[in-house]
Amino acid sequence: MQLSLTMKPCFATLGYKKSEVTPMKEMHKEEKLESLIRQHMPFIIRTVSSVTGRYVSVEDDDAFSIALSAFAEAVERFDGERGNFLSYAALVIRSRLNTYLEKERRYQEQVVSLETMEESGGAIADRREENVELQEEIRLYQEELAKFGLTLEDMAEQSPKHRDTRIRGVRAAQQASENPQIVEETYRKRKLPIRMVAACCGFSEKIVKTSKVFILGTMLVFVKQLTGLISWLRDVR
Amino acid sequence: MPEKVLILEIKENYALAMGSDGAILRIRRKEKMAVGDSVYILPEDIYQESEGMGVLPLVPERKMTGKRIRHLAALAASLALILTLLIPQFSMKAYAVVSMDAEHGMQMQVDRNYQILSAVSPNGSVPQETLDGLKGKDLRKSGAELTQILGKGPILVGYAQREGEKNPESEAEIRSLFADQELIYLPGTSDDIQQADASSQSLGKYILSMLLPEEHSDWLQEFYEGYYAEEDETEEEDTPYHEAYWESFAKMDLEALLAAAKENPDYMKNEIFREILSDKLEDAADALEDTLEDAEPEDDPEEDDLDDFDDDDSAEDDEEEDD
Repeated sequence: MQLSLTMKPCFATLGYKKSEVTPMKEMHKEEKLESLIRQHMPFIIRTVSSVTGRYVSVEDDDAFSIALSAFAEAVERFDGERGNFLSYAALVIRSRLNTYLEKERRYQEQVVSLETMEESGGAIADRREENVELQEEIRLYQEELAKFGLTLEDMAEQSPKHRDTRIRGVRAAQQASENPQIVEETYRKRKLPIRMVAACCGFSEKIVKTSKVFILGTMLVFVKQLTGLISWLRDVR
Repeated sequence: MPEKVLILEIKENYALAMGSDGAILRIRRKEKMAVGDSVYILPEDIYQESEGMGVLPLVPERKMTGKRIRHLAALAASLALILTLLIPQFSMKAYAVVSMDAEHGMQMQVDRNYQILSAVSPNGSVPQETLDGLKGKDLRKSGAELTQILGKGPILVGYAQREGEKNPESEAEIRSLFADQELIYLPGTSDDIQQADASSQSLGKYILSMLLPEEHSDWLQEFYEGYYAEEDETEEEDTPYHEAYWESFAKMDLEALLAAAKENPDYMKNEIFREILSDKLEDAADALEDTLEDAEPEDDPEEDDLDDFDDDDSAEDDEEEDD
């Protein structure tokens, strides 16, 4: 659906007249709103990021949740005669976020009692602990890469340019990591045994050679059983 | 669409993050980033290296008085003088790397005008005084001297530019230095220069190792290194094979040719066979270069139509589809 200047407000935005709204149509309205949000996700994220000055977290991000509500509110309240929908939605999102940030700032300034911190801090503490574990894993990963003379910068330089290639590279890395001979040879020679990996994964040697740094680097994640990073790569696998 | 990334390392101007497909990306640094955070990024968040370079602040507009004009004119004249003095220095910038391996091996940095800026011998086979003596000389006029330094045998030349568009004349210029000698010319990229340095090999040997399947790279390099040590043995022998026999190898692809040579090391003593092998290697180098050039502009994470893995193995695709 393309949003334009001619778009009608609220229910009309979603293709309904207000008098036609029934429970079934309410459900369709929700589906359409979800689809609209999915379609405009980059816009919402961009707006949040420009207001807060930081990235939107994949995990629970209050600012992002507020922006989603504000977007839904904009869909509901939009009047086509007022102008472009996205400009209006950006205005609503910014306004709600600024209110939230102002409250946050005031809250930070207040002296928070220890009890209050304990009451509200449980979930935050859990998340921090999880982050500490992941940080430790990332440190171990960097150490492991260093054993092969590699850094994350090298990995950035030599990551294959095409997504399909990366996906197959990750699969090759996982398959190779499950083969003890390949793992032993890799650590013995401190480099990827290209021929063995090619044979194991059914790729040509040229292909493995082209992505050897990426495959080796990714293979180390699986070999060292870095569960946080493995779970990050779950979608690929 | 937004992409999820996991922040792995935070640098001064950017951060290194892992994409959900395993790619390591450089993203712009923003507030409150921490290692281990997973965040959404958009295409504009990808960090471009040029962003790290400083930008001169703009000077606010000021009224141009006669005095100010005179000051500016004096400044312009000084700058013109400085630039005149500096311009010859700009051509001293390293433009390309040329490696040459024969009995002895060396690697040079040259400027746009083929002036030799520095020379090293990665395997230490050329004395430092000889290398120092090359500095400042025009590569195109140093054929005889280079031939003498490199010694006997076919010459493996690696050539890669550090920057700029590919110079179509470089191959002809270098070939003309060694008109009467066997020469394998392997063009590479600026990445190859770095990789060769990192692996302490000459550029030519590095490109060669990339072109050859692993099972062939070791013995072929050994051959090139041993060729000169076994001077008497490497002289061409009278073989029972007719010329047509050797020429028939031209129909083989590189891999089959290498397999044949590995099976029968004496084949390498035949000039026709060596020429065919050189041609195939050069073709492979050109093809690799073309592939890299074709692939570079397609660097769009959302465009999946070009796939490095699909280059030569359509059977793999079938397997993947079955999966």
